[in-house]
Amino acid sequence: MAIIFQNVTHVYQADGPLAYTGLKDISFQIRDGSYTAIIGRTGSGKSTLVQHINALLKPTAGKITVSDHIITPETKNKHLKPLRKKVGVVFQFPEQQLFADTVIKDISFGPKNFGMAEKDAEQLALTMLKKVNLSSELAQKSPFELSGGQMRRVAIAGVLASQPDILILDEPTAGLDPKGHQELMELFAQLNRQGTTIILISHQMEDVAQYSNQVLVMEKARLIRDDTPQAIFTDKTFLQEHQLLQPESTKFARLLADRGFKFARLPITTADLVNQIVKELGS
Amino acid sequence: MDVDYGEIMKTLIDLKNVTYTYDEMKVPALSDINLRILAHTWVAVVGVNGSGKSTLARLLNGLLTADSGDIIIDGMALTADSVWDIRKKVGIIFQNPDHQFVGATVEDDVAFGLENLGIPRDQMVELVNWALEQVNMLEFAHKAPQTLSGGQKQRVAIAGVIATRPQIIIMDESTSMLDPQGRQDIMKIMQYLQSELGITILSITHDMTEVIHADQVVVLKEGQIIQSGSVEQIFANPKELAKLGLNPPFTQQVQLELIKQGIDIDSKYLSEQEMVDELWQLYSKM
Repeated sequence: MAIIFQNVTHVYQADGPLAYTGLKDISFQIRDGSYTAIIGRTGSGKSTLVQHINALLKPTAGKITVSDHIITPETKNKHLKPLRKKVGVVFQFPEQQLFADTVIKDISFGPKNFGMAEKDAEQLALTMLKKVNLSSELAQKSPFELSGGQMRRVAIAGVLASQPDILILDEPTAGLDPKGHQELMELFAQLNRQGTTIILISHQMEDVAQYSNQVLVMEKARLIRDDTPQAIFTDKTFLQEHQLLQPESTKFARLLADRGFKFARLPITTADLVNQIVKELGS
Repeated sequence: MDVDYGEIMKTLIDLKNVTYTYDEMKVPALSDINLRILAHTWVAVVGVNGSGKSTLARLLNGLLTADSGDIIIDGMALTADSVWDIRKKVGIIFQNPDHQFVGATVEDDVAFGLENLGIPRDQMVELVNWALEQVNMLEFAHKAPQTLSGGQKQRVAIAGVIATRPQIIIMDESTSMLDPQGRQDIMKIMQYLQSELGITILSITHDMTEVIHADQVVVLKEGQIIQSGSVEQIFANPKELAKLGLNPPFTQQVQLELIKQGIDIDSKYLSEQEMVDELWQLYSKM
C-alpha cells in the first residue's frame, strides 16, 4: 500500500473570505509496510495531511496515490468506499465517536457497513476486543459505562475491525496512563510487523524514535523534512530552529557527551543509550 | 505579592477519612482518604486511569460531595454552606482547553469568574490585566478563543482562575492535550505561580518529567492512597510503581537497565545531574 503525494495543496474554504492554507505543495512517498511518524507543532498541518490519505479531505491542487487509487481535486465521493476500507483512521480522542448501545455493536459497525454478515462481523468484533486487551465480558455493556482508557480501546478495536491495510493514528495514546500507552504502542508495532502500514501523528519523540522508520516534519502547512528518525533527532540545529524536542535518551546522551563521554553515534532510544554506555564502561 | 514564610508549614488542605461513591456504583471511587497538604507546596497526584485522581480534584472544590469524612481547606470545613467560599480558595484547570472557554474574547473569559463574584468594574479591569500579564497573554486580550492554540487557551484558563486570587490551583491533567511547547509554557507558569505568588499546586498527571519537580507525590490505587512522600521516597521502589502501571522517570529507567546489565552504580533514586556525575566518575576511572 504505497502512498504518494505529488504537489498536494489544500486550501480550506478556498472560495471564501476566510480562505486558509492547510497544506502547501507537499510531496513525499511512504513505502508499503512502513511505520511513518508525522511530527510538528499544533496547527502545522499534520491532521490535514492524514485526512487526505482516505480522502476525508480532497486536495485543492495536486495528486495523491494510495495503492491503485488516485485522488485529485476532481475525485467524486461515490468512488471512495473501497479506499476507505483500506485506510483506517483513529482520530484524536476517538472515544468521543462511540455511538452504539453495546460495545460489540460499536466494534462490528464498520465491517457490517462494508458488507459483512452480522454474525461474522460480531465474531470479528470479539477477536478485536481481545486484540486491544479488553475482556469479552464487556461485549454486551454500553461503551459509555466504561472508563476513559477502555472506551479508547473500544474505539480503536472498531477501526481495526475493518482490517485496514493502512492505519492512521492521530495521537492515539494522549491522556492514557503509561501502561495503557505502552500496551497500545506495542499493539500498533505488532500490526506493523504483520504488514500494516502505520502512520502515527505524535508529540512523543520517544515513540517516534523507537517505532518509526520515516519521519515527516510539518511546519506552517509545509513539509520541511522527510528523513530517518536517527538523522532528525541527532540534528540539534534543525530541532532548535523548528522548536522540536529531542528524545530523552538523546538529551541525556548529550549531557554525558558534554562531560567527555564518547558515543559512536548519538542514541535516540533508551535501549541504544544503555547499550552504548554498557559498551563504554564494560570494555 | 510577598510570600509569608512564617506560614510556610501551615496545613492548607486536610482530608480526614474521606469516602466517595458514584451513583449506582458498588465500589467507592475514593475510600477512607487521609491527606495533608502544606501551604505553598507542589503536590503531584499519580495513579492509573480510574484510580480516583479526578474524583479527588472534584471533591476538593465541592463539585462532588463526599459520602463521609471531613475536607478542611485553609481551616474551613467544606460544607454546603461554605462551598462558595471554598471555591474562592480552590481554582481548577481541566484537561480540555476547549471545554473551559466561556467568553467571546480572552479578557471576557478571564472576567467571567470575577463577574460571578460581584467585583466592581474598575477593580475587575485591573485584575484581568494583572492575571493576563502573569500568564504572558496580555497582548491577546481582545482575541477570540478560536484564534488561540491549545496551550494559549490553557494559559487563559489559568488567568481566569488566578484573577480570583485562589490559594490552591488544581490541575487535572491540564497539559495532557498540549504539544511539548505548550506543556513547557504551562509548567513554567505554574512554577512561577508557586514560587512568586505562593499558590499551592495540586497537579494530577501521568507525566513523570513533571512529577520529579513536585515537593510531595501522592500515589492512588483503586481509590486509596497507597504512598505519599518526596520524589526520592516514592521512586525508591520503582518495582512497586511499575506494578501500579507507573513508569519510573527517564533517568531512573536508564539507571535500572544499567544495573541489570551489571554496571556498578548506586541503586538509590538519582536526579538527572546525579546520574550524569555518577556515570562520568565510572567513565573517567577507566
